[in-house]
Amino acid sequence: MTQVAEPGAKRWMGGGLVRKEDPKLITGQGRYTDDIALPGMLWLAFARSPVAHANIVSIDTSAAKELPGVVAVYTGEELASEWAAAMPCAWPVSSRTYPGENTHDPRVPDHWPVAKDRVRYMGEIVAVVVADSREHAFDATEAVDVDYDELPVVTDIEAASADGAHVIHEQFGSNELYTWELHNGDVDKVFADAPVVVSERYFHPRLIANAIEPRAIVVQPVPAGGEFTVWSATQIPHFLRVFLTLILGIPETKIRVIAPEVGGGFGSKLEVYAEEFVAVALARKLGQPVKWNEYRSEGYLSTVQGRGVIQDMEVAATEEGKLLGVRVKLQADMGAYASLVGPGIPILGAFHYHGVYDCDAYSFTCTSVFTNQTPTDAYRGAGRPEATYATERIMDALARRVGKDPAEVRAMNFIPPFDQPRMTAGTLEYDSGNYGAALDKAKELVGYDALRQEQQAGDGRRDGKLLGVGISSYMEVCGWAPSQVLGTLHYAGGGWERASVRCNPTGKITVISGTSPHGQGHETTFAQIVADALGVTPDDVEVLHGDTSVATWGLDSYGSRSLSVGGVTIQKAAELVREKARVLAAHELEVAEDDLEWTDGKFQVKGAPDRAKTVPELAFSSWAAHNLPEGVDPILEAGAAFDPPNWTFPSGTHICVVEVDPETGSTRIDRYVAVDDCGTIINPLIVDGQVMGGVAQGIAEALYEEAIYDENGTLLSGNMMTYRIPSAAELPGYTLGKTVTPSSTNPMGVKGIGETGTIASPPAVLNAVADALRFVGVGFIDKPASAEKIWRVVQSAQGQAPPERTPEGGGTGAASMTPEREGGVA
Amino acid sequence: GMIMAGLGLIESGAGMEEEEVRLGLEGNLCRCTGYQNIVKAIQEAAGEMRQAAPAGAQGGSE
Repeated sequence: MTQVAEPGAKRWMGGGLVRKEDPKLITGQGRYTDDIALPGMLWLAFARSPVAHANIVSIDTSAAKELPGVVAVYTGEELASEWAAAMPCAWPVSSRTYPGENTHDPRVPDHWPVAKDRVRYMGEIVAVVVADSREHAFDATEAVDVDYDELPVVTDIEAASADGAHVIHEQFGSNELYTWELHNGDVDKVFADAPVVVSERYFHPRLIANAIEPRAIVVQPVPAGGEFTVWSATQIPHFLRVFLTLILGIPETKIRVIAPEVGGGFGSKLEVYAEEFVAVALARKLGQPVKWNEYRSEGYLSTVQGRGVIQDMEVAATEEGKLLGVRVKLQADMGAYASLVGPGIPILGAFHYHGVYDCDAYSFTCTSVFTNQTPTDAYRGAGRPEATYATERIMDALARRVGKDPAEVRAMNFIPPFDQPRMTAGTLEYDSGNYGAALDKAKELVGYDALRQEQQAGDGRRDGKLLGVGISSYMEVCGWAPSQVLGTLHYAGGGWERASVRCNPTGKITVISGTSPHGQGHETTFAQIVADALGVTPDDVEVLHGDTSVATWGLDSYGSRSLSVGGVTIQKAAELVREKARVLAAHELEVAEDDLEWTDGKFQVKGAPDRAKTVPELAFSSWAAHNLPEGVDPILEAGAAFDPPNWTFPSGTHICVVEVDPETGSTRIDRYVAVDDCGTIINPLIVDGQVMGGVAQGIAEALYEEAIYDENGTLLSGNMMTYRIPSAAELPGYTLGKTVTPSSTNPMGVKGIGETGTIASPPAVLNAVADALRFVGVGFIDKPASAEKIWRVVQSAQGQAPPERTPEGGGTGAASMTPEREGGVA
Repeated sequence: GMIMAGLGLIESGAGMEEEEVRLGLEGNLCRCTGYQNIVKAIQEAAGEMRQAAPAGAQGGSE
């Protein structure tokens, strides 16, 4: 029994229904890609480059082929004929300036699933082994003998675009993919004339998504028909099908892609990978099922990484702290190749570095470069955490500069409340917002005024620790996306959704959704929406997704779109079903349609409520088709499409309270308050779950995580010992609040909540740490605010040079990733 | 993993204050939930299970 609402209640939307997905997941009955085993299945393993940049002089696979259980070993040259095209970049951003005339001249280097003559990042595939077991396949990869002629390695973002840098893709003449600019207003004049200009530089290290389920793929070929069934741990089964067709030359009608249970993605499974193309190619070549499952440390190298950005952020303001202009320059690390949507990630943040604040002048410039490291791509928030971090950190810096409380400076600059689309300085039309309400609520929940008083009275100390309070008043842009806008941004696909709602003859409802959940609870939320529309219960509704032969049309799940685009589409389809049912009901009850009312989940004759029909009853009679009105087809079902007219814009305020130990540098989060506004709330349990999970990732980004490469392009943080995601012991509890400002973008007023926690939290945490450290004279600290980093800046500020590091087996970052348990627990 | 670790904590008689439960879950990673509801669920289950089978008796499992 999944319901927690009152048995007689007719309204499910807005209620905290326990998730329909969970019973099977928590009893181990969920079937993930790795759970699939097929008769005659062969295992794949990949030999990967141990060096970051080299020509492949020769590859000798003879020894590997002799090892037990090995069926075949293939090099990049041997597989070259499998590919109709190189791996895709679906968002080939090119240099341009807005406003202005531009030509689209993208720089997308060929990226083959298996390297042919050169490797450009540590971990790039150089050969693939096929064997009778996973262990036999892996062992044979170590016997593949590759002669590398190493080339100069480029890892530093700024060095990559400096004069004289070694060029990774010679055909472009430099390591730059693009320089993309957006200017609005007379930015130079505003900055030149402004009484106050605050500038800071921020660095966002690369992050490793670490979805708990590793990547995996199983392919079942039917050689006589040229057909393939593909199970993949992917966020994007529909896109994967399209790209398998394009890269492998297999007709789309012959490929079925299924995303089974997928254990988290966070953007790292929003990609079409070399391993997927190779698996299908080898299933085709060998005529047998094949399987691959990633090792965690393998995934650290081969799964797209997030972030990797340097920001030079500036604001111009009055002496009172009123914002006049925002100017930011980004340098973004694409890694060795243009990934599926990697070039577009910085652009997702391009339009809102002014956040929730008004100003007259806005300038965004981003230069993206290739480096000899794993390609980057989307990671929860994708461009928006970077933007929010810069905005919210500089607002605190501005507050310090003008000598005012950071909450006060924010409040004086908020865009005033609005509920219809409003043009902003970055040229986005925000859908609605009430930023002051969330700030006020967050301040109340955290006890803001008392905290500031305590800080003042204690000169920043509480029991020997430094007390800090940090605010993040954020907005973000999601609900991916209006298709026309995507076209202008040179994104290859659209942003619509399609759905079907089908009433089965015995009264249960099937919903076909084009979204592809990987842990978000769509089956529950969508069931609630349909239950309300059709007068049934969520238990009566089954939501199907993630199988291209079942949910034929869809654009999958990323960019916080599943509810605000997918859910809206489902509601539209359900309402079409209800309208069809109304026609049938009127006919069966022998009344005019206007004599019916929809009350209590059924069609009742006005004035004679005992004469009524429910949708399940009408589903049966529609299926039997004994008495259909003229012109009405049998079967009660409807499909709908929705292409959103605008993005959606969740917002809110998070406030973090930290105690920093100046002796050890360790940070303890004392309180974390999140007040979020995702518009209309369909399931508050699920919304809260997304916020808590998102905040956890953001706190981890703020305090613990960074992927570290050395100057040779070796990934030093190559496993969970050196790059560890936090456990419950390293994270605090959260206090959650909500404001509700419905979106003007869709009829439900929903905005999305999947990424907001990760977008909002890093600056809240860093602002708190910086706030604490100012009491010992520290002017600046960036993320991750590890214990070592904090200790060093405190030592420096106190005039003592910290001792020289003696790295043991690692570079400067290795020790900083050891989460401090002492004091790291809330 | 979380369920097994939680069960182990409860049956071992460990303290169920938030900090204690969090430390007890140190060996189990989750990337989705942010842990808060897992901690609460274990605390709630401990309450029910220990009431049904007080300290010293074999902890009953679901």
